[in-house]
Amino acid sequence: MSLLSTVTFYVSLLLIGHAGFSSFEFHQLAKKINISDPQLPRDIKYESYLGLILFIISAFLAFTKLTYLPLRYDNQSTKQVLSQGQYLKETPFNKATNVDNMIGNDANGEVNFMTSFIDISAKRAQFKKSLSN
Amino acid sequence: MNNFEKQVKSQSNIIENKKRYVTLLDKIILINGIVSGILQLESMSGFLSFIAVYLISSFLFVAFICKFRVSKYLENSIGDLIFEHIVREFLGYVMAWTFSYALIN
Amino acid sequence: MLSVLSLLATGTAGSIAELTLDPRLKYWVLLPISLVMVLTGILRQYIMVLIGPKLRGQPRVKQTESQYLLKGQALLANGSNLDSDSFEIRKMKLSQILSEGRYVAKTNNGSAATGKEEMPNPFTDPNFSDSMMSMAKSNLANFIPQTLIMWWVNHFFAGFVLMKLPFPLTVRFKEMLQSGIMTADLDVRWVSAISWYFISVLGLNPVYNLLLADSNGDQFGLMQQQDMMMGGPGQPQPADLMRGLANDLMIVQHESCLDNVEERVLKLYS
Repeated sequence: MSLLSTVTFYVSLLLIGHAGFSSFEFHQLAKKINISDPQLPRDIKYESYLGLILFIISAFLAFTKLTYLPLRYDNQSTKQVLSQGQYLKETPFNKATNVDNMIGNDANGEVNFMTSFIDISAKRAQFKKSLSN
Repeated sequence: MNNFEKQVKSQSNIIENKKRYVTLLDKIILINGIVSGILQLESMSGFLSFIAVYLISSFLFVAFICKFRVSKYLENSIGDLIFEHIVREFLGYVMAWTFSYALIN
Repeated sequence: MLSVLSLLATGTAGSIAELTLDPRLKYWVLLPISLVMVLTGILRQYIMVLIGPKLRGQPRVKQTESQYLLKGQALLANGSNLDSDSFEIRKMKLSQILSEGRYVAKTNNGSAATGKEEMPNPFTDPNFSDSMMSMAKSNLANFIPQTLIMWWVNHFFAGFVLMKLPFPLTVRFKEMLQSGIMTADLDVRWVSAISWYFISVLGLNPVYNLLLADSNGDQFGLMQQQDMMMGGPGQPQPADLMRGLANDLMIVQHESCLDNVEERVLKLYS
């Protein structure tokens, strides 16, 4: 949730809570002095409408663009968090696998990363290098 | 050749998208029910309020979240957007509405 | 003292008699019932996680059996991605293996475990009884709390009007929603505690969705369960499945996905 969404969320809850309390008091009073069919004052109505609208806005603002952490850093990219600028995941399969390609997730990894397919000596050299750094 | 022209869809992504949509609707509809109770709406106006907010929020979803390209994110647009969840949301709305209506009156 | 109901029939606005209810009814009946319902739902969710189906190992022969079935189905479904020669080779090999029933799981004494002559007892087969148990347990976990709460509401909160519904109902609901109230002419909109119970049972799904962690794992669990159910009584036996699959493989016509591909690509991007 972004800051804007959080602020709108609490403001709307405050408005709705206050409108609810006012409405409650109003109806108690109307019962005490025996008004049949009481009409709510206009300010309470507007307050609750405003609260509802703000809540809807905050619910939509709460949608954040999907972000992914890259799995591999060997492409020396400076970006720490990757994003496609979308709020939802794409459903056509050819587009859905774009995310895997972007973050470096090997779709055939369960075969490619079996011990018989890994270049062990290269891995060891890499590990040694990273230790010496 | 029909079966080659059909696009393969990623079911797990469809499920995730639907889940986000339903959660959004749940939030909005529950608050809508509470507001209807605060306003002491009765019978028809209460149901109209539900329909209005439901349609408005699904339209806003299409406009801002899907950027008007629903088929990119959902399987069958109208069915998934409106008819699949309407009963569940309606019952939730009635519950929130009745609850706040009874608390305030 | 909760059942004290101060009846105050004011001048009737419209045809609905106005009742004035004790405000304590809200705080000591409406809120507790709602709270108990929500908390029970949360508790049920966690109990379901605890008693849910566990992953179980299978003997290797069973694995091989089901893997070969899957292999045949995969060839049927995705064979269009192969060229016709390699498709033919795979087709011949697989249909031969499957029709022979070479990888049908056998028991230790050598006979096929799932032969027709000896129908396995469903209650001694550990896999089957396990999945039956988990189904029964999840049903119970749904059923028992509902019954308990209904009994609780009916027992402690019966015999008074709790609230007024914001929408009119037909007279047919009177029996159910006003149980225990001995007034024949009361409007159906005035209802007792049990109707609030019904409304919350129906309407709490969105609340649970917002309160609880997402239950996306459910589908996976279900798939596991179905996988285990294969070969149980009532299900077709693996040997028969294999024979059917071999027949399907024999008669299938290979069509490559590259036939007319230019046409389709042009159509897709035009």
